[in-house]
Amino acid sequence: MENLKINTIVDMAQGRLTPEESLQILEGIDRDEATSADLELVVDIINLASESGGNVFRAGERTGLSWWRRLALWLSRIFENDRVLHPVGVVSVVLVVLAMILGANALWTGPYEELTGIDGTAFEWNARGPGEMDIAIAYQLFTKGEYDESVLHLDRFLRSHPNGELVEYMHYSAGVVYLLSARRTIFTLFPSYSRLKVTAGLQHLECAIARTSNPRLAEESRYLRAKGFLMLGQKEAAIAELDSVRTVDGIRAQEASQTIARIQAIGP
Amino acid sequence: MSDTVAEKDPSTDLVWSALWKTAYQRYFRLWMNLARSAEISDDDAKDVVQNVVAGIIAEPSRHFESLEHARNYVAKSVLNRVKAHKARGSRRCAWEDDVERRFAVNQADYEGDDRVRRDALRRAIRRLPRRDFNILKMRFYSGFTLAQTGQLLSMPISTVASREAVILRKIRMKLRKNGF
Repeated sequence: MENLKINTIVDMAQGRLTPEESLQILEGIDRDEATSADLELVVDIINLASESGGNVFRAGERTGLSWWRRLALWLSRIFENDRVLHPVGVVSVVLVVLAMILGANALWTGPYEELTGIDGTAFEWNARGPGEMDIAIAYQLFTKGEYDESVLHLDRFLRSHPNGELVEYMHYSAGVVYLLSARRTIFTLFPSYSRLKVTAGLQHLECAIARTSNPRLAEESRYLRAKGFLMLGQKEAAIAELDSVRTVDGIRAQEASQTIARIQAIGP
Repeated sequence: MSDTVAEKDPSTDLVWSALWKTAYQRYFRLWMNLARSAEISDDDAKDVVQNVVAGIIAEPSRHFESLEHARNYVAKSVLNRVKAHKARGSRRCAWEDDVERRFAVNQADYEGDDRVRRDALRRAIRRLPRRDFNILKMRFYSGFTLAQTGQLLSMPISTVASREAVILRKIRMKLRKNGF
């Protein structure tokens, strides 16, 4: 059906053409079923507009559907009972859902997420002395990523040897394991941190700082405490720890400065 | 169109077919618009339409293959009549009062499939995107020409024309999906 014809049918049905023009068009309609069907539709709309046009075409009311309502309507029709799922529709729905999930993930993720990473492979501990079995088992479990079981053995060691030679190192190790095990995700999205584990980790690291005379151990412990505070979103406490690390001017000094700068760049 | 369901009016000899009632109800406005295209008054236009319909009903031997066939036949008869009517003026028949009384178009008379189709059409129109809705409103409700519609919507006439064709095609597809 050419565009011109249906417009002409509309004009004819509205009485805008001369009788001679209308007669010509009717001759054509007589011969063509498709055109006849077009006239039927036009008649329907004319009748509707005439009888209840005020309701259908009500002036002053929001007319037509906004884009998001049309999208919702279209999405709802994809799963009508009497229709096979249209592949394009399904793909579109999947893409929209995926985009919504990724958007929600971006909103969910805390502002300091990028600064909280701890490289678990950088840690290793060798211990000789009383309780070395617990330490060895804890380390083995740690290397396998079984953090919760690893920390159980460390805790057992610390309970059994509260004043032993290795206690500051084990407090430090327990702090590391607790912080590493605190992170949770849902299929790698929506990261969050167990407040319980982060707090436990911070306490162990504080014990390590308090007991040690090793400046290097203290520096590392403070650096990790800063990461723990960032996991909890406590920016000021993290900056305080990093400032201490910077002051010591050890191996982590430059990194601490950079981290402070990045935290401050993120803003309040 | 077979007149299997009919009633005889004792006041006249006319046999009123239920199908003719449907046709009159459905196409009255179309026939009126066609009659008015000859630039005659509304009363004269109504006279012509009712005269044509009454004349057809008075011929019980006349048969039509379909509602559309009757539509076109009456439409052409109306157009030929208005050309003559302009010349000779109004001449009202007794039948015409009867036609007007019996076939007064009333929305409440729509029943069954007609009403469902009407509701489906209403929904299809209300769900159009805003631009399409406005085009339809101006063409069918406000009665503007393509040129007037284009001017009011700041669109070229060709765009309005092509858009109108697309809109009507979409509406027809939606009605078909609903079984009409």
